[in-house]
Amino acid sequence: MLALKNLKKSYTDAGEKRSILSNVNLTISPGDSISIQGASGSGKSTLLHLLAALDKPDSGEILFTGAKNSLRDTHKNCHQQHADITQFSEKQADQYRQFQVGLIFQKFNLIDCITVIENVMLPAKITGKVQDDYIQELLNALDIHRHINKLPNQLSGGEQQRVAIARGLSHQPPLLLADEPTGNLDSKNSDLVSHLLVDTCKHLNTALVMVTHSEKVALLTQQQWYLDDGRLTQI
Amino acid sequence: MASLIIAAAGLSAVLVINSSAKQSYSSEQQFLIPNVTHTITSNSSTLKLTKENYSDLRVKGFYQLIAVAQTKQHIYKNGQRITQRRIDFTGIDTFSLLTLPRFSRPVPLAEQVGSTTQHKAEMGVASDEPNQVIKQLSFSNPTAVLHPQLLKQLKYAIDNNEDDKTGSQAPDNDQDIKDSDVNVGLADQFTTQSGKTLTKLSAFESPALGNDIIMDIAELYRLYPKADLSMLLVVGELTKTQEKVLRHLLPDYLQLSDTIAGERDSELTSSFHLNLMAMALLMFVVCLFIVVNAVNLLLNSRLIWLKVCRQLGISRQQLFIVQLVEILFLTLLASLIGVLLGVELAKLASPTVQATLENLYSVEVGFGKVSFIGLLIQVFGICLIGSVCATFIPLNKLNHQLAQSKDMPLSVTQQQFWNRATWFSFGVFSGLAYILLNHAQALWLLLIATALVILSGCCLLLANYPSMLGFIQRFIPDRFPLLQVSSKQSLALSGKTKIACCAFFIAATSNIGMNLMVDSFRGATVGWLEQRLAADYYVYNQGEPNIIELAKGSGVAVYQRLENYTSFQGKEIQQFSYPTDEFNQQAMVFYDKSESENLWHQFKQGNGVLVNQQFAFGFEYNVNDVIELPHPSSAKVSSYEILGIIYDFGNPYAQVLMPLDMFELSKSKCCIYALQGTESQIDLLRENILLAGFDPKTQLLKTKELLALSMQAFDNTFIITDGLNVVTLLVAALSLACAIIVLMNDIRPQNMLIRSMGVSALKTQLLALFQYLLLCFVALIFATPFGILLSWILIVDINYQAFSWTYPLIISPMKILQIYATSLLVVATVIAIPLFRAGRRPLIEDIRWVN
Repeated sequence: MLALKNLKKSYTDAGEKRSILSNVNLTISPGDSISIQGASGSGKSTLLHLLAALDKPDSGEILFTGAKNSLRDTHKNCHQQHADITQFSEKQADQYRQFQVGLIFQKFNLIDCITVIENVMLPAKITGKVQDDYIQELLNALDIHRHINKLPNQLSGGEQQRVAIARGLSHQPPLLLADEPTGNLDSKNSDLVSHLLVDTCKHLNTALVMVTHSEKVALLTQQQWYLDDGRLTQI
Repeated sequence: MASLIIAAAGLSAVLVINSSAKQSYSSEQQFLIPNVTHTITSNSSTLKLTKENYSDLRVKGFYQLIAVAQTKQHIYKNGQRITQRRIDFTGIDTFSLLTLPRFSRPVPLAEQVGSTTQHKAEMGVASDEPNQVIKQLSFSNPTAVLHPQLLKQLKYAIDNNEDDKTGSQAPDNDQDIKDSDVNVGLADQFTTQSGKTLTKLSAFESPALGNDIIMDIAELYRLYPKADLSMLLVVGELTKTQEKVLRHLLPDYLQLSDTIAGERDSELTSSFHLNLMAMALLMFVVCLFIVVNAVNLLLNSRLIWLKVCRQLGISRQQLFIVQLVEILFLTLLASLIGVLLGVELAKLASPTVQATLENLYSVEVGFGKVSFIGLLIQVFGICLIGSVCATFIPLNKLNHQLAQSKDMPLSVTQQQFWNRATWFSFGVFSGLAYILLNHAQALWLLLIATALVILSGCCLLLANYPSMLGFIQRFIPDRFPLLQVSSKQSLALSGKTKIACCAFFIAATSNIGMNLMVDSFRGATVGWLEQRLAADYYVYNQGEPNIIELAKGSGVAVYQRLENYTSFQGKEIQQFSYPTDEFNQQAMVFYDKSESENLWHQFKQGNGVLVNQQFAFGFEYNVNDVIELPHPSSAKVSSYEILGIIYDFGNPYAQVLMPLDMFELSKSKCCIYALQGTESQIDLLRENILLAGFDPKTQLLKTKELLALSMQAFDNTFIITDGLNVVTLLVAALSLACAIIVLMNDIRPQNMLIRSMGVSALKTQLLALFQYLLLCFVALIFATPFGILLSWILIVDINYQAFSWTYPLIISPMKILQIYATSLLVVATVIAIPLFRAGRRPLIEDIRWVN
């Protein structure tokens, strides 16, 4: 589904060029679950941002191959067998994120003035892919169906992150990108949320790329990768 | 800082304008002569005050009488007119004046010769300046006195004139004016129409001097031999016996009036000052809303640093003191810049203000003398109080932020408490406003009531924002999910932008109120003028030339209007003649009238009179009441029934209309002729006027032109109000923009989330704009009834108290929609800037910032 080829990215910090990613290669297939670990500042989040077309690499390609049932929704460039998302315009990148990607962040994952169900339904409504059965299944799987009419500030941190997972999957994206989804949670909630995240993606055949500090969480995924000194190596 | 400067500039401009106008009114009748207690003038159109009258009275022992002659003339240079409007040339009998004890005491030589205003001020004799100036007028080499501003205008006119020929750049600075204080031979260049050179000019700064050039009476007669004696001034107090004897000695056509009339003008203008002051304070208050938001912004940006200071053990009190000291310095700097800007603004606005006051009150307005230090102290004092109060709210918020690590949302109980408190405040404010509006008589109490009405509106808006926004949300269809989210975010924002929303509400309410008031006044004036000005042509003169004589044989029907001034319940009122024919009956515009069918018959018979609103409201009379008035000719006091109350917009006098045959030309003054006739008949009259040596163009005014002229004057009058309205709205929008900049960080995570779902930056910006416009729209909905209420209060209560006349309120939906559109456009323009800046930021930056 996604193929990263010779990806390079560097930043200029205090006048000094610092390489973050050097010749990163990775292939993500539908239904894969991948965790990326690494020290702080190693470039984990940068890699995730490149996958979400939020940032551009210095060089290299990220080739996207759309699934047949979802290609009709994406921009014409995504219709191609191998669309390079690093070449996307801002509009194309928006379209790509709207239909192909779900994003989960460490914090500030919910819009606090709308209810749980409204938060969950929002991406589905934006893409016009509202399927009540699917949403219900998702809510049940993540065990948040009891909280649908509550406001986010009435939920615990773990519950909020489960709502964020539901929101990330509500429009049925083929790829879910999670940036430290359990970073703000205690260990009990971290275990619960990470299990639910991996299991739900597996159940829905959604590819998951998760950036994490926690080895315990990383072990739940099919593939564990480690980013060090700009190089990505599988553990 | 910018908002404080705007507030200080607006305030100081208004203070300067107010101060100039007040000084002008208080000294309007005095021509630099202090202690004038009475004036003697002619009340007849045919018989004038003469030199013989003057000498007779002086011979009979009234040495305190000083003759004044006046004429309005243009100034010429090389035979070319250089003035736009006529200058008031005033001649004073300085010889007689200087024999009075006050003026005859010895004066040091240094003060007498060529002493300029500046020199005298340095020598600390400023209080005696007018006396010195008057002495200058009559010395062997006499001078004429005028205001530096007028001298500057004349000099500018000359330079312009020369520019036309030489193309050189005219120098125009204050130094030139100072140089000409004594005489730089500038006057040699000025002549009268007949080519006589003006005496040397000396600039003197006094609010009593407006468009005047004051000189010795002998000098005036040298320049204009045909100038009339306009009045005799009584300098110093008259004993009751003296006053009685003087009244007895005066022929019938001369009248002795005390200077209460001048004070009356001051009272009239006090409402104008109050209006101007109220608008300036409104602008000032709205500016303070910006200060609140600006300080919020400042503290927000320093929050991390302040938290570090707290961790280092610096107490909250110390941090607050540092912030307050900074505000103090900022306020001082802003006041200084604001005063400088304000004075310049006042100078720019002064021609418009002068025109406004002259149109409204038919008086001359001079140039004020304002102490810069005094003004700075005043403005700094007000700004400091305002800014410290405005800083209190953000500092209080900071106190909470420094005390707790997390901003906790209000609990349900707290929300209920605030909601109840808001409703309670609404009840208290509206109750107080109701009591004051129904029972208060004083103008300042009515203005407080107006402020209470606006405050109660703010409370109502805050209490109803959630339900109103909820109501609007219902109408957003499901297929616009982002719009639904955005409208819900508006609700959350309304809680965080309360102050800015209130500022916008106040600005919108005053805008709607003022606009509806001006529109109603305009509508009423147009209707009134169109009906009252029923004749084809009008002539406004003091009886010369006599149009009735000139119209003989031309076939033009002439309706002469005569006026008298008399005293009623101790106040001066006008007695005005009104024709009784069918044509003029139709032209009358009644506010209220007797139900009697034979109203005009009774009027014709002299049994009843018509009074204007100023009379009815000022003396508290109604239709069918009976009043006792002197007969305009015989002065015999008789009873008259009030048959009707008429509209008479803008007239400062209480007026009684009586049939023409009750007046005698010898005892009344002719002021207006209304003419009815065909164009050929009018042409014949024109020829007759020309033959009599007058210019028909300046004499005859076509009704359409008169209407246009009147409406032009009307529009000029409200330029200031319009300007202040727009500024207030702009300031409110700026306040909102400041609030938005503060909130940008709050809503950044929410916007980041929406953008991460693939929503474009443009769409996110538009949604944010929608949120704020929705808040403003709701504020406008609430502002509409309060704006209408405000205009009603202004028309029915405040105008009634201030001017003793009212007019019907016209609610124009188009005007209100126009204000809606303008307000939303102003807000959209102002807040688009921070939104656009936020939208240009790459999404990745927001994601990094949030996480």
